[in-house]
Amino acid sequence: MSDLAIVNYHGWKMLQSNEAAVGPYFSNTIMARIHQKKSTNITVVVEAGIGKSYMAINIARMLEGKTASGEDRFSVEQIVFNYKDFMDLVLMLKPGKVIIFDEPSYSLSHRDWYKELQSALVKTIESMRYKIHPLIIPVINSNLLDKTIREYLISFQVVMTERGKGTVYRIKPSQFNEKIYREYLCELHYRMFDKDVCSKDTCLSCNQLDKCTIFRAQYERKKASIQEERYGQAAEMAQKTEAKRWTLLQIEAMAYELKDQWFLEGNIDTLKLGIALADAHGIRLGNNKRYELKSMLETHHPELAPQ
Amino acid sequence: MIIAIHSMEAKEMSKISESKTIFELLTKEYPEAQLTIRDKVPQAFLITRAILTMMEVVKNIQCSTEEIREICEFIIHLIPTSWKDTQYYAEMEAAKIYVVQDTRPIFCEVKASIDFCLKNGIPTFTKTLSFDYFKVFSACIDLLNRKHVIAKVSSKEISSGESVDVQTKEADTLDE
Repeated sequence: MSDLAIVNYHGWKMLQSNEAAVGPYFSNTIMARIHQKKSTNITVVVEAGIGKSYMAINIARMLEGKTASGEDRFSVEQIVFNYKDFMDLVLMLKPGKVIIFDEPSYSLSHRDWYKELQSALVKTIESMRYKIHPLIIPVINSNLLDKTIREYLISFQVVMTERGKGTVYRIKPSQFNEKIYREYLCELHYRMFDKDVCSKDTCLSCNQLDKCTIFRAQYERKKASIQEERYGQAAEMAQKTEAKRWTLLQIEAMAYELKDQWFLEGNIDTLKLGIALADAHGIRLGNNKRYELKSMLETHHPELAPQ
Repeated sequence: MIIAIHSMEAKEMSKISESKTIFELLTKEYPEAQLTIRDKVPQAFLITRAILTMMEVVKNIQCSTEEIREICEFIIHLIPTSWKDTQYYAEMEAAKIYVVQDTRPIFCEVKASIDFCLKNGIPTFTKTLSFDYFKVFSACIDLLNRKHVIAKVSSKEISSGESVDVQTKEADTLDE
């Protein structure tokens, strides 16, 4: 390995050796496709917890490189978790900019996420030709994707073997039969990016996460905010489901605690009773139920009955 | 009757064979006939076969240098000229050897002296250009290796994930 050297690739340190066949093989292939205005979809596959999202981010950062002032061209805004954000990016971004459609881990139902991803891919087959946004999809297993997408739409597959390491395959479907050929392209060995700035392996236990400006911290913050949002929605959904199971007697007890809001001028206002229950407990009652509840309250609490 | 038909066919065939070649006959029957990937020369197979033959020749205790020469020449001719690079030619240059042969005449089982030969204009020694065929074989193998024919090359993209202070032109063109 006499000719082994460190070269500058888009502002990142990369090893280069002709003898040892080390060089930016994958990045150059993708860059060539971008310049040739070809649609490029890449999947990064591995089981959970190996770092497929980080690998996808590293590929994107490597491709887009750094500005003259040393800032990343790839921003955390280019990582999306849902179809709407993806379409916004497709319309907004300049050609050649990479998009990562990340898997939102445990927050969103996986089935819903795959549905969104599949509709995103199918709808952008044509637009990708003009918009030229390489799309990177970190996914647990490519078989979770629709057959048409994983076999005919994905051009490269990065199969990760361990943290920061993976094998790149070029996916080529046969034009004559149903065979799908996976040609070996190269190995990817990416150490954790920005290790020279921060040597911590993970941001999750770091107390500087809220204010840290390193890319992976920005990503973790974005992912956490999405998670929080999803958890909030999930809690609301759970409350609604729970509300359906409550008996009228339980609802009566809850309503009685809110007496001030619906007992006005010596009468029970059924409309306000419904509103108070919906606001406080997320319980929505129909007209008949509200009157039934009114009768129950008047029977069990004689002071509420009209004089 | 059958004999008559056969004789008719034979006559027609003879007429055709007189006027047209076999290739023309084939293309007449299959106008779209052309070579497919299956019909191409199996280059990799031939090279592998030649290397195996070389192994067999060397393995044989009675092998002659002529056999080695022939198989090496066969390998050289199997490799396309377009593949041959400067390093190959340099290695071939290094494999060159000169065989010196004593050509002095023999009188009564005694070789003539050099002085005698020089005095009478008789050539004493001849230098013949030859090759060290093991070096030639080695040059061929090196060439095939450089062309990634022999060993499967596992390409790697390795990055330390550290940023470089100096920017390249490539990076700047991305902004355009």
